[in-house]
Amino acid sequence: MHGQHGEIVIDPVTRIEGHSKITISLDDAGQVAGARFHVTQFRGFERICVGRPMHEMPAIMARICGICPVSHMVASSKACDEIMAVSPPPVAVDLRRVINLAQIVQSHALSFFHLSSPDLLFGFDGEVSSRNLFGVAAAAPQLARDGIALRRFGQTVIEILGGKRIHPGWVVPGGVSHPLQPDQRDGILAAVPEARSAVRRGLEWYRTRLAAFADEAAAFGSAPMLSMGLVHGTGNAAYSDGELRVVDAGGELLADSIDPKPYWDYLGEVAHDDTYLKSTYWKALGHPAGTYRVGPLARLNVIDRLGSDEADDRLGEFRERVGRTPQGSFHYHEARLIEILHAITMIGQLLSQPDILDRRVQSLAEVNGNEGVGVSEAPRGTLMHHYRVDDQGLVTWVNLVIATGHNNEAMNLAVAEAASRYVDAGNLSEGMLNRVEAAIRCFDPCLSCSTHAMGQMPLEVEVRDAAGRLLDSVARP
Amino acid sequence: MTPGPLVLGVGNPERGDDGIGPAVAARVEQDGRLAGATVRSAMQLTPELAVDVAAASVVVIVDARVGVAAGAVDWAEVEHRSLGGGPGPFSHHLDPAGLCHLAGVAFGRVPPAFVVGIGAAGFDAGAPLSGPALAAVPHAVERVIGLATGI
Repeated sequence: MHGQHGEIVIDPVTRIEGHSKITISLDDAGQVAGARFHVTQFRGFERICVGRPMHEMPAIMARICGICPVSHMVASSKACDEIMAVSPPPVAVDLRRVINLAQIVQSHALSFFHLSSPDLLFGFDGEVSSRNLFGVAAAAPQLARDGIALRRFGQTVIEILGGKRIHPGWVVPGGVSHPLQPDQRDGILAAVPEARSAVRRGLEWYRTRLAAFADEAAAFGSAPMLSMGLVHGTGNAAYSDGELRVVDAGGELLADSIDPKPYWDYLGEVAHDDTYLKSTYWKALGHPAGTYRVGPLARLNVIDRLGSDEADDRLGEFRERVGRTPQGSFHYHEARLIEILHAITMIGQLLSQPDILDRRVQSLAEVNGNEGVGVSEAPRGTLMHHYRVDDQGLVTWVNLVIATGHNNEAMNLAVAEAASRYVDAGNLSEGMLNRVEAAIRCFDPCLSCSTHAMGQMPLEVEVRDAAGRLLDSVARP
Repeated sequence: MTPGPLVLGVGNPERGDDGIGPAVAARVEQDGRLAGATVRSAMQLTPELAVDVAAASVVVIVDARVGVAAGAVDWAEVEHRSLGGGPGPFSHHLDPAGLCHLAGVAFGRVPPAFVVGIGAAGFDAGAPLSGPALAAVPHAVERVIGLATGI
């Protein structure tokens, strides 16, 4: 709980992955003048890896996050592939794709069904005590069951492939550590049809709710900006590989088929005094004109098609309704559901390939270079791992560019827009502030504390005048 | 299929005695006396486990405890309380009552559920199980099997 001169502070922001706060600044007239999203946790992973053997990096990097460890393992292993100067065997590439897609399923399911569906079911002004998974389960049990089932599907695939649900150690430099067994493949394939049915129901339910949130859909971070993501040469969505594509708000191509590895050539980075999260921008346009989004909505904006029939039908309906490159961040929710459908379908397709049980799954090598960059799509967007090692393979330098950093400027614009639209500082309500938080939840920022969350985190907000006197307050249990 | 017992060992094996739940669960799985039982270990009680809870004949959750003597084994039945306040902002992990409550509201079935607690000496990163915790494993295994079989 904080409140300084002319500020409203939401601290912590709830139902996201990590510790953060939002500051809403008021002008002399008490009206909202702006808002900022602050990440208040610091992990220091780029420093603690220095001196570690390169082969340990995927396992260490997985510890960054308890929600998306697989994404970090994939990007990390790709960076190590480059240092070893090897290409993983083709089946290992496909198996990495499968586990990365499973990560996307479980993470998106958590974001949509567990964290955001309460607002969509009960409304942003709904009873606070109901706006959680228990409330959803009581009021719409099928919706809750589908969310649970989808997260369970993704986690089960990760557990089958990686040996455990959180921090699996299966994705390694050069490929994966062991091949897929027939019973493992068959177990996953048997679960695909019901998982697809669950996300279909989720999509249908979401569309029944859309009309009730037309205002929020227009006001939750709708500032026009660029979209960035990985795309295959075919124009299909890419998650574990591919090349970079950037489009502007009107869908015009700014960059296509560029090697994502030399990110320093095309991305700039700025640090702010009020947050530990750096912001990136598209260097050719400078800051802030080069502000862009990554993640589900941005991916749908940059691709020609997903590459699986039913998901592409849903994408076509989506584009017909909201435009070819929608800018409203509220649409991240539907983009997530469409990506879940695509990911489940692709898992089924990849595991149905006759060579998926091939025993050659790892290219073995030592250090054959001193630098490597690995790029993949994490659930929340493009993820970049960049390492330098000495000739013995000990890490000397690490730089991580994570999805939430790519989205930082977009999130700041989103909270400012939502605060300006909904917050009446003279008559503060929980629903107003929930909308500001919900603008952030659209991006599903992952602040890497899911392995370190301690206890329950209350939300208290104070409004103070220029003299620091308390004008109003809202508390959330 | 006839529901069988569910044993859930909760904790992080890389954090000292926090790993006592998974250690006991592993021993129960090897024991052979709980025919038809599902034995799982998890870092946290996540909502996805509600599927297993709702499908079980009886649930026994094994977890480390603080505030009691290291190595002390006790147990209690889980009260399926109504959770008007909800699970809090991090709804992807729950306490035993919350997990059972979720099984009830989402899947319509809550079996009898128990928590077996083992007093922990410490939770240091990378530490093995403490001597008292290790010594308590056989006693905890007997308690788990007793609760799961109604003995």
